[in-house]
Amino acid sequence: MFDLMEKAVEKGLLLGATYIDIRVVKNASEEIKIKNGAVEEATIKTDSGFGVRVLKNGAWGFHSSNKIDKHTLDQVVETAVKIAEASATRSKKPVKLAPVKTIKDKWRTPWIKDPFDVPFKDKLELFLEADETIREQSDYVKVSMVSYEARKIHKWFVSSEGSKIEAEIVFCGVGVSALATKNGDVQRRSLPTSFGGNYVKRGWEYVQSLNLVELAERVGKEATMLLDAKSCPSGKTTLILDSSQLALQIHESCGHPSEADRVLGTEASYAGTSFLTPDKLGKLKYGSEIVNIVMDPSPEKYPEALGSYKYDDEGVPVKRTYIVKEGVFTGYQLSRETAVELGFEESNGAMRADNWNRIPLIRMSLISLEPGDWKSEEIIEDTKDGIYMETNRSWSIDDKRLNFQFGCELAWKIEKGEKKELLKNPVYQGITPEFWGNCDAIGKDFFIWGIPNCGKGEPQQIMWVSHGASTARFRNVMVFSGR
Amino acid sequence: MKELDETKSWIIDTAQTVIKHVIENGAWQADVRIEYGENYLTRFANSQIHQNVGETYTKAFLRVFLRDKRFGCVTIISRDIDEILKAADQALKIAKASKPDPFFKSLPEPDRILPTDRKMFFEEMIRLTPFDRAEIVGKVIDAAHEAGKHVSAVNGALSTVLRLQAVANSLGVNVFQAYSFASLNVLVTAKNMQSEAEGFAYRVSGNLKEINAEEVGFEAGERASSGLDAKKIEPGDYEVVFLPYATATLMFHLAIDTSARSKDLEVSSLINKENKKVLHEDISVVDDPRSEKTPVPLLFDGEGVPKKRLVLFDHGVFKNFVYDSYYAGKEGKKSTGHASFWRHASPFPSNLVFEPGNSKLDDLIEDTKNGILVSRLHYSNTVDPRRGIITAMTRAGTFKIENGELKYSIKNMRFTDSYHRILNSLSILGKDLRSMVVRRGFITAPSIKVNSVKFVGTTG
Repeated sequence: MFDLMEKAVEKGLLLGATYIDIRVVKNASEEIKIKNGAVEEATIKTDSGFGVRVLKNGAWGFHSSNKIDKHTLDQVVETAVKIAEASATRSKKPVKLAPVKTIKDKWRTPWIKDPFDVPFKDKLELFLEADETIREQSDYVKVSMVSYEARKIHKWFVSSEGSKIEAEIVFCGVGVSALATKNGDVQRRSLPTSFGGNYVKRGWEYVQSLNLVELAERVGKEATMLLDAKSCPSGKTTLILDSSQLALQIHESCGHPSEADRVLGTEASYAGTSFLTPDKLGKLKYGSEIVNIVMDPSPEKYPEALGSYKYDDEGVPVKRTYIVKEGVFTGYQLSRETAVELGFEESNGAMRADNWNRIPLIRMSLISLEPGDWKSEEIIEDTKDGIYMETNRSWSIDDKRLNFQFGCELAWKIEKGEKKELLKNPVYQGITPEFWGNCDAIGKDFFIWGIPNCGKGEPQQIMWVSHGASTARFRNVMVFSGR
Repeated sequence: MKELDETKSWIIDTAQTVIKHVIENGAWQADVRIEYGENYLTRFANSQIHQNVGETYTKAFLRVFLRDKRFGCVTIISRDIDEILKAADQALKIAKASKPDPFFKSLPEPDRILPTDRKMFFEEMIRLTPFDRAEIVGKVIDAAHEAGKHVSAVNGALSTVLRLQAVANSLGVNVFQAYSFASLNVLVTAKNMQSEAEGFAYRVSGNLKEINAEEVGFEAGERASSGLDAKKIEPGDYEVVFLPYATATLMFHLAIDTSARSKDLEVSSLINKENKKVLHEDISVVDDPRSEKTPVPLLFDGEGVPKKRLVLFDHGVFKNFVYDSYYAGKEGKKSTGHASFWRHASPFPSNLVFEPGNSKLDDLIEDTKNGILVSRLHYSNTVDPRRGIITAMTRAGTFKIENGELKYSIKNMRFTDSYHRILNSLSILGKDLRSMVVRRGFITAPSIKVNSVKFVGTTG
């Protein structure tokens, strides 16, 4: 494979490209969805292809094809060069890339049981049992669902700077959810988390490690209990978030605004920009002093985290970077190009593409709130009056990532240090630095959540990312009922 | 064109070969969609091109059903017939290992596709070069800068799409369509010493030639320039004039609720509301591929079922959910021709038109005593699906209206409210229509003036 790619790189250089990289990607994915006892989805997807990214006359061109042979590679390289030449006609300043050392390496994620080797029947048997268990919990459960997805990616990267990297990645995840209805009210409960479950870079052994049937029992029972719960009250109060909801809070209010491409305006037309402008670096009080948010996708440290990897899709080794240190905004997620623009010496390796036919963009990897020293039950015990919320149900945030609103599946009224009453339809909203500025307790129940569906870019790319988070407490937050 | 003609023959023949193969190997019913696509997208930001990408692909989605209603699906991106047939064998393998789905009744029988006078495929779109696209982007950028001296950055994307699609099934469905479209979105940033503002404009058309690049750039530039020095106002209940881009977002949520899948999952706000008045009596919404108001007529759905005009809301009365063959079979109905192209059992409208009124935008503003003009909505999401409660931020042009006049620019605001309540408070329908690309279809909507939207927060 590398020989074919290197020849195409040479062709690009002959055509006047000053930089060229080629990625060949072979993908396989398997999706299974069970709904109310029926197999709603049983799909295998396979594809392979390559993408060519070139710099010529200081501007980028990219082209791709699903046909991997020498003739097509040459054609696609030619087109990519032409596209770069066209880009240069409306380019104000030439693209500069931060230096990167030449890498020749092969790495893989640590799966034990390849999910694609597990017989389909075995998977189905487990999922159908879980699905049935959900509906067994009450007559009010109208919809039971089990979602599973596994993906296997084999990719090769070659650049005109001499890097040659091969990677094999396997990840999978599963989730169960119940929808209970009564008198026009609908309540959803999902575990391990919502929107398809939790994902990790492991094999089928991860699915086996979850007690799916036990989770199924819980979602069925809790969705039913929520039907008779009171609605979340309105007003400013103390809010405690579980780690799964906090993972999404980190994602939306810290992960996205610290992407350097958003900061520099290149995502303005679609996803938006960022309030974390360069003048605020090292100065802005993003949160309270106990808030430390770090980008650290190192596979040596977190081999199973969905967002971990060794090199990004520019061939840059990942580098641990604090985005918020002791409450102060301190860093960005970078590409080679944005590192130069923002005055950094090197990229920290945040560029990834979701497939061969897409260009790499700055994407979140593993961005975590470092754990504190509270036990999660101590946070509850220490709270006189407040609301505890768990598992995301809806989300929305403005284009600069300041004004957010999240809905959760379940909440508890906290009184005198105890969970007193179950509440439904809880929603909270706030402004990012005010919210994090009011964080006064972080638990040590640190857990890394894998999110397989972060959308960004045009054409849109869906990326797999992860966030480590613990139970945490925030003072003076506006909460209300989403009904 | 010769290459495209060959591709057309190849995808039609391959669809038949695949169906024959799986039936010979034990399938009871099967269908396949094959699509060849050429997509180009030129993105610009900070008034220069920064991403410029292209792709060509051939993709197939195959479903096989066994007599006892077990089924399996495969998706493959490949133009290699051996690889596609191997994938078809995999679909059979999945089906044999699966469990019967008692709700599946049958794939659709062949039906006549009504002809259209409208041209769907514009040859000149094939001949566009990267330099042609760069030139158009240049015109957008220049026009936006000419719209105001404070324009600081022009951002957006020009996209061109060509698709050749064939759908075949074992009951005799065998259809083909080719279509093209182009879309241009522009977001302009204006800055002065005190503030920053955004303006947005968007166009989509079957033929790029019909998009006036300068007009789009100027519209976004002008709106950004007039948005400077925004004031903060208190959240609360306001009258609102939604420009078509914002109305289209409300329509998107309404479209999700019309899907038979949303109904089946019990997450639609339209459950048990068929033939009941749910929106203001002036609101009529159709899904109509032959409407002159929709940019590209999509003549059949992902199962090859002909698309016909379907009334979704008639003078505020909810008339129909949209079905594919799966949900239609489950409810003992006929498919309305809304099957997804790439997913099993996921129907959605594809040529949605919110019928316009006769009023000019100025009339809508004049009708407003204490209100807000919303140009565009950002990051909308469902809060309570059964009640149609959604939340969204305003973006790229939010203005205060007082006593019938646009008074000043205001900071972006968040509303959390039921779209039923919002659309029931309709006061005037505009006549200005704009279309947006949504999923793999199009939503066309006018400006509207409504009497009540609950705003719950402000940024800035």
